[in-house]
This record gives sequence, C-alpha cells and structure tokens, in this order.
Amino acid sequence: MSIAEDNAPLLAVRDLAVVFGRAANPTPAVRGVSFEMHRHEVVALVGESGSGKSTTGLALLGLLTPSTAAVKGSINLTRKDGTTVEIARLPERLLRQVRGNDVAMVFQEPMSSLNPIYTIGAQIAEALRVHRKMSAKQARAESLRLLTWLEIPSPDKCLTYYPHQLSGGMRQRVMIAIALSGRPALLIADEPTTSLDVTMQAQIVDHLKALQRETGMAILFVTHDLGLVREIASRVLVMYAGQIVEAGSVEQVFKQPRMPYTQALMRSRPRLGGDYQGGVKRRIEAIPGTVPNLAALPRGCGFHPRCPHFLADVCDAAEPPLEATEPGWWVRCVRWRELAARSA
Amino acid sequence: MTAQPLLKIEKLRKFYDIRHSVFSRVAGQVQAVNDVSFEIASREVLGLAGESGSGKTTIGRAVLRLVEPTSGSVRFEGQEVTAFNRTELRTFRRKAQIVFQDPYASMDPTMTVGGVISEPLRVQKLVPRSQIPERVEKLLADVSLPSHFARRRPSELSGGQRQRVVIARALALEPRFIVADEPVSSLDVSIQAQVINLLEDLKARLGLAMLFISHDLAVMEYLSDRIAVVYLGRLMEIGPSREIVTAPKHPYTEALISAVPDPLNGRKRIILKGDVPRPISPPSGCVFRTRCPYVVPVCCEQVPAPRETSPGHWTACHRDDVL
Repeated sequence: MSIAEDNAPLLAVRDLAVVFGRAANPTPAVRGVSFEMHRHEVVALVGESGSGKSTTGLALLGLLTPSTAAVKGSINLTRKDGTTVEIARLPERLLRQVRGNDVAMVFQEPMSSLNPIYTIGAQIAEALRVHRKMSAKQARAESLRLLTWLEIPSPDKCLTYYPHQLSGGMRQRVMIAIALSGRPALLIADEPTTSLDVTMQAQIVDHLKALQRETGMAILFVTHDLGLVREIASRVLVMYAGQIVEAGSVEQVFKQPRMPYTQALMRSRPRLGGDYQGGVKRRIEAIPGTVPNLAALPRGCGFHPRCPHFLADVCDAAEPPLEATEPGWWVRCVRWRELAARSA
Repeated sequence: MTAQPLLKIEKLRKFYDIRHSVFSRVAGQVQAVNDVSFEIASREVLGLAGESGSGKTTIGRAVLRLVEPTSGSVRFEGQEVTAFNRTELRTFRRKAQIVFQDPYASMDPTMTVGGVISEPLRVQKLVPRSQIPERVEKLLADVSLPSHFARRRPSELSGGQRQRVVIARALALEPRFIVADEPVSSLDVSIQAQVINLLEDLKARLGLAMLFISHDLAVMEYLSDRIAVVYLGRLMEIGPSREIVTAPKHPYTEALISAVPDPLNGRKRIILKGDVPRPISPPSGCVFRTRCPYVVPVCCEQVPAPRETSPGHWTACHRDDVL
C-alpha cells in the first residue's frame, strides 16, 4: 500500500511475512502485510484469533526472534531524532534503544506483564530510569505525574502496591503509564481492554484518545471489537488468515464494507438497541465454518470456504491481490466490483 | 408473567466469610449477593447483566444450589430448592442444567465427545444403555454437529464445537431450565454468532427457559426477553430487554449501556469514575452512589426499594424520576 503524503510516514511496513515452525511444517502467521502509519494517527488492526494481528504487533517491536519465527519484509520506523531504522534487521542492542523510546506496547493481560514481586512504583521507575535516565527522585515525581494523569485514585499509595492489590482496570493503567514512560511516538495496544468490563474499557479508551490528542502519539490499536474501532480509530486494517483483506477509513469501511469477510463480520454481531424491524430484532448472520488452519491454507482466497459469494474456479484459483478501489481504500477480493455494483 | 413462574427467587443472599487463616475467627463478610429477587417464566429467557464482581455468576450457581445460599428462597415449579434433600436435588438437576463459560475447562479431556454427552444419561440412569448411542446422535444433531463427532476427543475440537458439545450435554436430560454463564464470551466473533443462533433455535424448539448470564449487553439484548442488571450483589433494574436497553431508568444501567461501543453510530457516553467498590465494605444506602452522577444525600442513608416504574419494569433508585 502506498499513501501519498507529503511528510515521511512514521512507520512503513512492506511485505511483512512471519512464518512460525520448522521448514518441514511451516505455519505462515503473517503473509505479505504492508501499511503505513503517520504521526497523530490512530489505526485499528482488526481480526479474529489466528488472523495474524498480534503477530504483526510483535514484529513491529522486533519481538520475534529467529529461533521462533522467520521474519521477512521490511519495517521502517522514523525515530524521534529523524533517522530511519529497519526494525526487522536491527541488532538486539539497538532494538533496546528503540523499544520504549520510539515504539511501546500495551498487552491484553496486565497481570502477566507486570512483575508480581515488585511494587508498581519500582516497575514504573525502572522504565523511567532506563528510557529517560532519571534519578530515583525524578522517577518518583514523574511516576506520580503519569498516574495522576491516568486518574488513578491516591497515586502515591498506588506506587507502594503490588500488582495483585490492584483491579484489572488499574493494572492496565499502570501498564499504559509504563508504556508512556519513554514518550514513544508510536504505541501498539494489543487488545488492551479485552479483559476489562465495559465501563472500565470506556475509561481506558478515553485516556488513550486524550493521550493521542495531547501528545500526538500514533496508536496502532489491535482488537476484534468493531465497536471499539469506531470509537477510537480513523483508519482500519481488517486481517484474515495472515493477510490484510480490507483497509480504509473507518467511515467508508463500516458504512459499505467491500470485502465479503468484513461484511459478514459486521452482520454477525447484534447491535445494542439497534436493528429492530417492526418490534422484532434482526437475526444475526453467523459466518459458517471456522478460521482456516494456517498450516493448511485454502487455495486462492483464504476466505473462500466460508464466503457467501464464492465462485468456483475464480475464488479458489489464484490468491486475489489487495486492490485499490478508490483513494485510501483497498480490498482483497476478485469479485468486489461486481458485488459493489450489485449492492448499489 | 404467568401466575406460576417456573423459577421464583426471593431475597436471595450469599455472603462469604473472610478469615485471615483457617483457624481464625470470621473477620468480615463478602456480600456477593444481597437481597436479589426475580422470577423466570416457563419458556422465558432472563438476561443477568453486570460487571465482574457484581455477583451474577454466584446468583446463577446459587439458583442451582451449586453454592448454598446464605438465606432467601429459590422456588422451582413451586418447590423450595433450598430445602431439597439429596434425592430431590438429583431429580431437580434433571430439570435444571448449566453451561459454563470455558468449554475447555468443562470437559474431561480423556473422554470422547459421546462419553461427555452421555454422562448425565448414565449417571441419572434414565435411558437404557442400548439406547444411548442413538440419543447421543440426536443430541449432536440438535447442536448441528455430525454424528461421527461422538468418537472424537475434546482436544480435536475448536472452541465453537466444544461449546456445542457442552450445550448438548446440558440438553441430554431434557431440562426445562438452563443457566448459561457467559456461554459465548470465550469464542471468536464469527463463531459467537453460530452459538447465539443455536441457543435461540433451541429456545424456540425445546421451549427452554434460560438464565443468560453475560457482560455482553448486545448479545444479551438479542437473546433475552427481559434483562436484570446487578451491581455489587444487588439488583438495580429489571424489565423488558428493549426497554432496559433503549430507555434505562437506573443511572447504572444508563452508564453501562452508554459504555458499549457501536460500530455504526457513536454513542453519547457517560464515563463512570473509578472502580467498583470492594464487596467487603459496600457503600451504605445505595451501593451505586459512590459512582452515580445523580447522587443526593438520601442515597447514602437508605437502600432504595425496587419500584415499578412502568409495567413489568422495576427500578431500585431513589432518583428514578430523573431518567
């Protein structure tokens, strides 16, 4: 994908491919993913389990090691000092400088990301000392500032707590505080609110939005929740079986999805308080079958075995390319023109 | 509601004692469920909504006496479940079953799917052994799984398939009532819809009554006839699903509904500040008052009694005139 913009992108991913497993039994988790992100932008990466969305996130931080996964393609990141680095080929020593300072990550399960035997204060301070070379005193002041900003009640007490003494929502705020400690230009948030209740989710999403407004930090928000995408992102990348199958502005894609998978996904969720016809709720449409096994992908389009618009010898013949349908909107479906004309 | 509800719960309480060690005396109590009352009619689906720690799972288990209620009454077909002896309880469990959230944890991995589904039949000795394979096949068909799945092991199945097997097991004894505790929460979006539609078909075809426990309000509205909202162990509001979702009368329900993101329209959200208070020391008066945007002094003093704000719609709020 190439997006015409006058300034250089913050992140440019080209033909990213990640293969897990040995050569005899390879599992391609990410297959030829390309996209760009600009400063101040919130992009959502949407998909179900096995779509490759989380693996893409891990690759962007250089967290996939050669012993576990073969990473191909390029990931160019513009650092805060204006230089560009290639994440996929950066030695670990340099990656450590990039992680936290330029890109940071918030994971789904805060309990497994925090160290249970250190206090919250010690863990935030560690990040601040490593990334911003702060003294203990400075680190404490900055930790308090971060926790206050994230509206943690009595932040000074929170610093003395251990992770198990906090609720899920508070732990996730602490994770965000740690991620922010290096003032990264890009935050990768991998399902940061999935384990939380909706009211807590609303608080966290609000914080992330405010953060993006105030600091101009770009956010790659990985999620399976289409409602959340609408809430936080301006652009959306829909992934299925390791590939981007549709990409565009949230407005366009959600109003008139062009890839049958996106369409099916939109129709498979009930909408709260919506979709009544004559007092009866519209029946949701399930997508038949299951997500394909990545080690034995279907021929042609990865979605064809579950697609209501499947055409033999067309959809299962060759892998469809990601086609530009109009500026800023890409679809991976050989039949999109025909289907769009039919629904128009 | 019919004159004789299938299930009637009155002033249900479940308190857990807190001890600092096994031998020390009781240091306090966790009020997991406090004075909850509701009814479920035959063939009715009641959704039980609430956040983690609200007591919704405890209510579901107390109804089936999988945990013993501290006090209160649970009547099923007019009989007092809390007074059942072992034999009566066994008969009761034929009619009332449960489906848990995690289909991975709720099946014995060493058994075949056929063994899992037929276990209740074998335990209750309702069907002669020779007829069991036939019943298993029918149950698999009920949940839209092919009959050869009977020979598979749970590890060979996907999450959605496992949840179908768990549902088939719950249906084996032809119950009248099922407690479904977050039955689709652990499934992928595209698979969730399959199981949701299956539950809806079963409800229509078998005339099941259900207590549908979930934190997912969109799924709940879709499946339930009525919705009950619980917060910190107490019932906040109960009424017809569509009314609860489109015209909530309780400030907590209003905030909860507003927090659900919608893919097509932005909602005007009410952001609740802070966390749910700890159930060891719930706030005095209305338990929601510490986070309520409409709080007035009386909320600290008196526990609000539920009032019928419109036909069949009950709200426990001192300020039910505001919304």
